[in-house]
Amino acid sequence: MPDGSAPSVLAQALAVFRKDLDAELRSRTAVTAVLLFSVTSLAVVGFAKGAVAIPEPVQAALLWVVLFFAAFAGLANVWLHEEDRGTSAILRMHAAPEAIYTGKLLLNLLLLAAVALVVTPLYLAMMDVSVGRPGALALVVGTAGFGLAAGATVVGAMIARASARSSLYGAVGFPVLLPLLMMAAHATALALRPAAPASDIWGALTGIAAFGVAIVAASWIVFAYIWEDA
Amino acid sequence: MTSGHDARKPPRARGFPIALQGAVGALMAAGIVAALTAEPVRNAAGQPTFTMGGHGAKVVFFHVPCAWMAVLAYLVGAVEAWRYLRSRRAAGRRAWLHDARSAAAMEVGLVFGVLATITGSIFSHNEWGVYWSWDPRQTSIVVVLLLFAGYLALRGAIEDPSAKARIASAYVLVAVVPAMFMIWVLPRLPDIATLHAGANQAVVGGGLGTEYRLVMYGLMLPAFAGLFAWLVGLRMRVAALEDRAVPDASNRRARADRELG
Repeated sequence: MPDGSAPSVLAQALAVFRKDLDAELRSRTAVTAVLLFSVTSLAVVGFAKGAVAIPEPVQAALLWVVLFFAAFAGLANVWLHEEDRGTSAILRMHAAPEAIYTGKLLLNLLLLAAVALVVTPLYLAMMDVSVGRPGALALVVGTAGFGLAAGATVVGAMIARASARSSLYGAVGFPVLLPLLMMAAHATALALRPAAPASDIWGALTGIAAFGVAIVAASWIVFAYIWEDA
Repeated sequence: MTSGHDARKPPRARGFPIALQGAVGALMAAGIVAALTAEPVRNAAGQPTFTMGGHGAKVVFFHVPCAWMAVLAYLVGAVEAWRYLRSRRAAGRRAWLHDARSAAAMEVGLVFGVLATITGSIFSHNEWGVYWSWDPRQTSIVVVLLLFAGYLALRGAIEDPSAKARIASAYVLVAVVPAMFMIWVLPRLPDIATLHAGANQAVVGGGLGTEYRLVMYGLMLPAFAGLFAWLVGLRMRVAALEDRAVPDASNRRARADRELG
């Protein structure tokens, strides 16, 4: 800042992202929680399935159940550690609300991408799922993962101020993300079939992408009110 | 449902006018009598089109208004949440009223949502033999119910009155996105759109005659809308009493400021 002007929102967001990434790399709290949770739920799902063959829609739905709970096990941590360590006030002084939301969203996107990269192949192998259109599946997981991270980030910011947060997170976040999960499960089932029409997959992908963008837009509008102190 | 407000101006909420209370009661009574005595819907051959000699479908007279009131409650909750966020710094009780109205609408909306789900299940069982089949309409009412419940859970878990009002209002506004997707996007997706396509067609797609429409739109919907406004008003009066009886943190702070000069 040689000219003394405030850094842009993007620069502030990147600074928040780097700060949180450093903290996460040092403690590895969120990534450990998310990965352990995913592997545990994968084992539970695999154990429950046993040797029974399950149809594609169920395979797709189970993948998103695992990813949803994994996301909710760790993505609120970006807010909780600020509240627990009492660093929210300092953050408020140094960055605009939009920059803070964007920085935290970037970190959660990175976390979820890492989890999806581990969980999805593991799930496909453990559940013996054959994928008809691997490219489409990657697109669906990426697009829906964006919406999932966006929703989990804004809900995490809300519940960071509440009591009994851990039990509340799922109850408050689930209805917000349910349409996304339904669309994601539906699109994943299509991607597992080799003969699914590409236009159907594109239609579903458009809906999923629109949901993610709408959640980010709504979060940008209201985040300043959530983050404001008193 | 305590909210942040200025202790020097204790909140007051006006009651539902007595004349309107009478009108709602009269409309509701007329609607119930008309619904029970309406002629069963018959097809071209003169046969009843619904079960129980054509009377099996009459639960829609209660189901449709309840579902509409649940949606109306969400709209009122969202608009008032936005008005609260815009006016929260203003002096006086305007901000308190917006927040209290938003919270009251969400609470009453949960009641209407539960009633819509129960009456819808009864209709589904009477006409299709199953209480629940996860068609897009049924799924959307579940999501709306969960949104109401999530709102109330979030509101109950935040102690600071100002944060409670702000964060709860933000939740209603963010949750407009899933609510819109459930109603307009999801039922139109390929595959999902073809499931249970006939679900609402028996009623919406011309299954109801003119007499049924008159009872539904002329009596039941206005009666339920009046009942909704009445209940919201009552809930707001209870909230005002609660806030005056149990001064919240912001009240205590305001009083302490005053005493310190």
